[in-house]
Order: sequence, then C-alpha cells, then structure tokens
Amino acid sequence: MPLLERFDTPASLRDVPETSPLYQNWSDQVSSLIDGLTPSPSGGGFYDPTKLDIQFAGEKAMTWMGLPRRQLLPESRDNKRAAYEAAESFANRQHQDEYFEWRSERDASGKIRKIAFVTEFRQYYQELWNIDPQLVVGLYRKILDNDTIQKSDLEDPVGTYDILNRWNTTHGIVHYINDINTLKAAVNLCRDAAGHDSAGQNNFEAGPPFAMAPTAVDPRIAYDVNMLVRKGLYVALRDPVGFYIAAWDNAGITKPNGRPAPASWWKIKRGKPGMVLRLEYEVPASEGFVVGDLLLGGQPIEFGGQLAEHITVVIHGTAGTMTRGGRGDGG
Amino acid sequence: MAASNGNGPAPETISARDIERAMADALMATGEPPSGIDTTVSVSPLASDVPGSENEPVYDANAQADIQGNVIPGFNKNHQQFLFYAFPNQAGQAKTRAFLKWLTPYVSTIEEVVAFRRLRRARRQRLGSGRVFLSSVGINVAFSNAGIEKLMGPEELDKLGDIPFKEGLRARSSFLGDPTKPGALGNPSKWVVGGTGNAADMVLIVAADSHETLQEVVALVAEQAGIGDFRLLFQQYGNTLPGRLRGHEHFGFKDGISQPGVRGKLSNQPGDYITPRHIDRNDPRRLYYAKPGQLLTWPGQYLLGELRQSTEHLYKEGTAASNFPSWAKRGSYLVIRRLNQDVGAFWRFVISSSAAMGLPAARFASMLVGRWPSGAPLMRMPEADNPDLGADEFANNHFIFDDDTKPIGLNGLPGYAGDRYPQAKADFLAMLCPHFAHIRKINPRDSVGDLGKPEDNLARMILRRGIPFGKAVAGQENLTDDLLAEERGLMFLCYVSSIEDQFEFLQRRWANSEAQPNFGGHDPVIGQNGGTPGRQREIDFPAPGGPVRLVLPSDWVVPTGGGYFFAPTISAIRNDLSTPPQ
Ligand code: HEM
Repeated sequence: MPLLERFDTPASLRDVPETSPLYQNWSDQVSSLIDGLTPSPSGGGFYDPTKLDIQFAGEKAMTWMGLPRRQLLPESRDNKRAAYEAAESFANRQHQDEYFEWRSERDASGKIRKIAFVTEFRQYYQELWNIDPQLVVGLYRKILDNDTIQKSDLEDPVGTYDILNRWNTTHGIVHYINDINTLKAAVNLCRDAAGHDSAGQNNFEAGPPFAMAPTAVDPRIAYDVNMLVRKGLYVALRDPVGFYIAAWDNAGITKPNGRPAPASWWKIKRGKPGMVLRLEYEVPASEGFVVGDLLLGGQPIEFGGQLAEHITVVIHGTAGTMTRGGRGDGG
Repeated sequence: MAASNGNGPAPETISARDIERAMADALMATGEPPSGIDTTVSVSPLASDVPGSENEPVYDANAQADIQGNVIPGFNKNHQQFLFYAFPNQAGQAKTRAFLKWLTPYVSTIEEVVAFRRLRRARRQRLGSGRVFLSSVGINVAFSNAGIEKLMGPEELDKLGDIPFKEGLRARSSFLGDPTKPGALGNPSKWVVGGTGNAADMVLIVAADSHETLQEVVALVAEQAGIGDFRLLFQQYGNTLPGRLRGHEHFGFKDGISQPGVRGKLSNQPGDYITPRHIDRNDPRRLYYAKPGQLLTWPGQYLLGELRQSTEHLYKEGTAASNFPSWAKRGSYLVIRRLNQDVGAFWRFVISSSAAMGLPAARFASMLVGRWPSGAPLMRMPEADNPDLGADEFANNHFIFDDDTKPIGLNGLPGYAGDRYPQAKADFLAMLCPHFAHIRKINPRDSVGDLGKPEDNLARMILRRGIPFGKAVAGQENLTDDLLAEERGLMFLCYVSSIEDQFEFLQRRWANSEAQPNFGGHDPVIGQNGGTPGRQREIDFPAPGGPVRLVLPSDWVVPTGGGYFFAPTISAIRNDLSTPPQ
C-alpha cells in the first residue's frame, strides 16, 4: 500500500471547505499521537501508516457493545436495570467509558423523548475552535437544531472552548467528554497491546495484563491487536481513524399498539452508514407518543442504555507484513 | 466489496433431483455413525482429582435424585415426544396437583440417566460390537410463566429474575427477530403452540429408545392428563434421521457435537466428575477443557443458585445467581423453539451461489455451518470432508480460531488411536471458517467478542437438547417436490440459568447481527434480520480477491412454536408445585 499522505477527519467529515487548515491540523494531531511508535523493521508492531509502507494482509473490525460493560459485570449481572440506571447517572457521563456516549432527553413527566448517541472526539471541536469559534457555534446549532446557541455558551471566561459547556452536558450532547474517551487513550492501548510479548500463545493463554480492564472496549482492542502482532504483523488504525457506530438492532421495539416501530426512526445525524458518528432515536411528533412509550422486548424504554446495549461500536484496524526493504509494492 | 448477483443457476430452476444430487454428494463421505465410546458420564474415574477443581460442587445421591436428567446429563434418545398442556381452570387446581403427584416418581433424574449410561457402557464393553439390548425411558417436565403462576401464585413467579421467562416466548418473539407480519409463517399468530392464544402451562418431554416404547409411555401420560382435565395443545414427535444419518439435522449436517462441559462431581471419590476429564495431567489446559475443545463451565450456568462462570476469568468460579425464590434452586430454564427447516430453499441457495463462487456445493454449504456434513470442522479440514475426524469425539472439537491449535495430550484412553489429523491453523481473517459460519457465530471460542474477553464467551454457553422432527430429505432417493414441501425441522431445546444472557444473547446479539461477535454477516443458518422491513440477510463470503457480499434470498429456518419454561427439581415439584399454598 502506498504511504498514507494525511490522516483524514473522522468519517471523512467535511464540515468546512477543503481549503481550511482544519484538515492538515487534524492530520498533524493524529500523527503526533501515533508518531514515534513506528516499530523496528522486523517483528511486527503498531505503526504509523504515514511513515511506514506495509503490504496489506487484511482488516480487523474490532467491535463492542455500547452499554458500559463495567456497569453491568460483574456486579449487576442479575440486575440489568441497575446497570442502565448507573450508565446515565451523571451529566458529565463519567460512567460512559466505551468510546460511546449518549444522552436521553426527557419530557416534563420524565419520559424519554429522544436519545442521541455520539462517538466524536473533543479534539475535533477544539481544532475547529482554534480556527474560528463561529464554526463550532454553527455546528452546535445545526447538530442540536437550536439557533439560540451563542459563542458565549460554549467558552470559558478566558475564551477557550469549554468541552463541558451546557449544550454538551446538561442540555445536550455533541461529543465525548469522558476523560477516558480520547484518541490518545486508544492509541496508547494499541501501543501497549502491541508491545506485550505473547509469542506462541493464544487468547486463552496470553491473559495480557492490559486486557484486564472491566470495560468491553479495552480488552477487545488489546486482545485483537496483540493477537495480530504476535503473528509478526504490523497493525495500524485504518484511516479515517475514529470510533464509529457500526450497527444497531431495531428488532423488538414496539409501538403502544403492539406493532413494530419502523427502522426509519433511527437517524444518522453525523457520519455515514458504517461510520456513524451521531445516531439519534426519536418518534416523529405526528405519532402522538414518545420513545418512553415504546417497548423493547416487551419492557418499557426507560433508559438510553437499553438501546445502547444493542448498539455496536467499532474501530477498524489493518494488518500487513513488511515487504523487502521496508517498502510495499502497492499491491 | 464485490457484490455477486450470481452467475450460478437461478434458484427457481433448481429441481428436487438437483438437490438430491447435491446432498448425496455432500453426504457421500459420511459413514455409519460410530457406536462410540460414550464418554458423557465418567466411567472409570481418574485416580485423583484434577488440580484446580477443589471448589467444584459435589452432587451427592440426594442431589442427583433431585435434578432433572434432561438438564444434566441429557436424555440423548433417538425418539422423543413433546407434549404441551394447558392446565384445567382454577376449579381444577386439585386435579393439576394430583397429576403432578402421579407424575413425580416418573420424572427421570441425573441419578437415573447416569446409572443407565453406566450400565449400557459396561454391557457394551463386555459385548464388544454386538447389540446392547438395553433400553430406558425418560420423562421430564417444565412449566411456563403461566404454569408457575397458576401453581405458585404471581408473587412467586415475580421472584424469578429472568425477564424473558416472565414475559414468555411470544412476547419476546419480535425481539428475537421473528417475523412480525401477522399471518406470516414464523409470526406467533401462526405458531402451533406458544403463539397467540395457545401458550402452554406445562411441557412434558418423553424420551425412549424405540418408537413403540415411546408411544406406550405417551399413551399412559395422556390418559392421566385426561383424567386431570388437562388440555393437550400440541404434541410433537421428534426422531433422529434414519440409518447412517443418525445425529444429523435436516440440512444434512452432523449435530450435537460441541457441548460445554459441566463442572462438578458425582461423589467425593477422586476423579468422579459429571463431565469426565480426559486432558493429560501435565497439560495446563486440563484446567479448562474436559476433553479436547470441550470447555468446562460452572454448573450455575444451567442450575439456579449454583456457582456460575466468572465473566472475568477462564476457569475460576464466579458468583451464584441470587434472583430466584428458594423453591427454584437447582432448577433450570428450558427454551423450546420449534424451528421449521426449508431444506429446498437452503440447498437451492447453496447450489446457485456455490456455482457463482466457483466452489463445490458441499464445501460452500459447509462454510455456512463451519463443519462438514460428517461433523469434521473446517478449521481442521479446509478442503474436503473427513468422516473419521467427524466421528472422532477427541479430535472433532479440538480447534480454536485466532491462533494455531496445539496438539493436546490425553489421559490413557484404551482403544483410542490418538488424534492423527492435521491441527488447525490460525484463521483470524476467517478465510477458512467464515465469521458468519453458524458455529463461529454462536461460539467464537478463543476470539474476543463484543464484551471484550474470550472468558465472556463461556458465560453464554447453553446445554443443547434438540432433536429433528419430520421426514428426512437427506439421504432420500427419488426426492420429489412434495417430499421437499413437507414440514420438517428441529425441535430446538436448551437449558440455561439465564434465558436473556445465554439463549437470547446468542440468537439476537450474535446470530442476528452482521457485526457481532465479528464482522462478516448474519448467521446463514439461524440468523434473522427482524429489524428491517425486508428481513434481508447478507454474508461476506471469503474469496481470494476480497470478500464477496451474498444476499440470502429468504429465511430457511423459521420458528413455528415453542415456549420459555422452567424445569424445577423433584423436591420442588413434590413440596411446592403440587402442594397448595398454605
Ligand atoms: C434449525 C436450526 C439449527 C440448525 C440446523 C443447527 C445446526 C447446527 C450444526 C450442524 C451444528 C454443528 C454441530 C455441533 O457442533 O454440535 C450446530 C452447533 C451449534 N448450534 Fe446450532 N443449529 C440450529 C439452531 C440453533 C439455535 C437456535 C441455537 C442457539 C441460539 C444453536 C446453537 C448452537 C451451538 C451453541 C452450537 C455449538 C457451537 C460450538 O460449540 O462450536 N443452534 N448447530
């Protein structure tokens, strides 16, 4: 494969014209995280696809469940409701640590009206803000369908972008705010997993120390990356690097009259199929009822986590071998 | 990704005779079923316990006489009848209880099934190859949510923690991806039992070695049920396929090969395990395999209140479930799904798409399942079937997916020649056994899935107890459209301690998903894409130039009945369910 020239924005977003410095800035941002991790010429490892040319062998889609596993297992194994409740018990979403955050919007009676699920990085918005804060204001307005949002809502007293602004916490959701849900954390996880020597072992035997986290995502990525690297393969995150909502299951959601709810009530608001960055679930106003009136598997939808449990998050890896002289032939 | 619109023959042009030829070709290699060393119950206990098994529970004589025998170790009989009953109305409560009192002594337990197997094995060993002429009958019983409510009251029902059980199969049907269009095959409105207006209170499972004995016992049960004013909603006869296809399901593949091992002992004697341990004592894998490929799981995965599998550790025990009333201890949830199999539709797709992919039909079909018709795993035999491997229970399940499988040592097994087959090579890109293949979807083994750890896979396992129903197509000569059109399928049964985390998880979260536990498409055997109007299933078929997306034209496994049940212990039936509340 030819060297990657530039890391693209997540899902190849084009929120601003191609001529904007955003694209180079974003690429530099990703590059700076991955830079310096390029392995020695032999033996496999986690690598920077803008620096090292690798012969493509295959892709690995690493998938996991959106509902935070830590809230469910092992303690709430027999009490899922407790897990659903805990998962959204903080406005700063501190329990949503699967590179997947959501917010349930409720009506006056407490019933869910709409749920928005996101996998967007805060750094993307920070980069935009650095170019022009109005770009971020415009995006917020568009994403949240709210023209009243002002620059002053989104900044702290000294004028820097406040990721914990109310439109991304108590009054809305736009991107990740959980400290753990950063690209840096994911890159570090891959690097650590690649560095652990498990030659000759398999997943049952390797029990890699870094895979012991109680989340779903950390062991998922760690096991898979480690598994590829111990075969002497070189592993990179596939461009455009990002966490994506890959799939959701609409089966078993029923309207108050017992009929199935149409799949079209799920809306891709950012990204594209297979690389969804923002997914919303809402009942059209014309129906006369709301999400909280629906059943999932016969159970009333009381928490966003009930749907999150059936949403698949993904990060894509590519694996390849070193070609002679460390340069691939493009095949 | 390339999409294939098929340059194979159009499915509708494929005749019954074409299907006959393709199936015969696929089954050519399959020989007589092995008389087999029956290792499902410990026969010659090891001289000592396996290190690391100190905490495994001992099921002493009392416990063995209390737990129903189809849960552990399973009837595994060639002839079975499933009788679905509704209780008489409230006024008939006394009659219901009287029936249960009559039934209880007939209910087979671990003790009985184990004793029979030991006897049969001993005689077989004495006889060598001759026929054994031993037979036994097993009866087991289980109750639905409505049945429990009628016998124990709503409060006791509510104490059972499993939400799917409390709702019932019909209420969960669309969640499992079943057809939602009223009147469509597969929709509960069309189910023969467990659907709209015909949910059972109780199911009886009668199992025997011959059809005649089975019918005698069924007649006796029916007579008593009649006296009790029970209403027979539906009954289904299930039997194994004839001749050399015994143990195969209707599409033609050997079934019932891979089952989890249940931890626990039958006595304090050293080495007296429920699931015999065959791994060499110097091999560290003895800690988690019973025989090659058979993962050990803690009994709480199937019996309420026992220690369960840890979700964080491969072989250590986790906690026991706490969400059940005391009378339900050591009982087990039973899932029954009557699944119609449209053998014609399955093989038409196989014949058409295999031609388009340039593969022999048998190989293509085996890639949908993950095993060859004989049971030989694709992971060990990627190119062609090998019936010896298929029949070798110490080798046919010994493989993992993501890394090379290493040879494994066995304790001395008299008469066993050893595993002589090539070991499985790492297939992490799923080129040999695709991610969508039924056995890879439903048991990813060492691969990590959506909950992040391979350990988690063990907490999803189920004890399968299914049996085919209807006339066989596989192995038939002069196959006609009429025979193909007859109803047939699998009475799918499994025992679990959580319907939600085990059976439903496997069906909904894995089989029905194109993305879980690994990307690659829906399970082409049992997957259902119920969430979209077209119900369209897709698989990304591995090919040298990159995967080819194939669209499956229809569902060939369709639910036509069933129910969620609970199989209590004998003591619970005697002391609680058949005794009026104080
Ligand atoms: C008509 C429907 C079905 C057919 C034709 C079918 C067929 C098969 C076959 C041929 C095998 C391989 C033999 C073996 O390993 O025992 C198998 C394995 C298995 N099936 Fe199915 N099956 C059906 C339904 C189901 C359902 C509904 C489930 C659960 C949701 C299920 C779960 C399993 C499991 C857990 C295994 C063992 C996988 C392993 O451990 O490798 N099957 N099935």
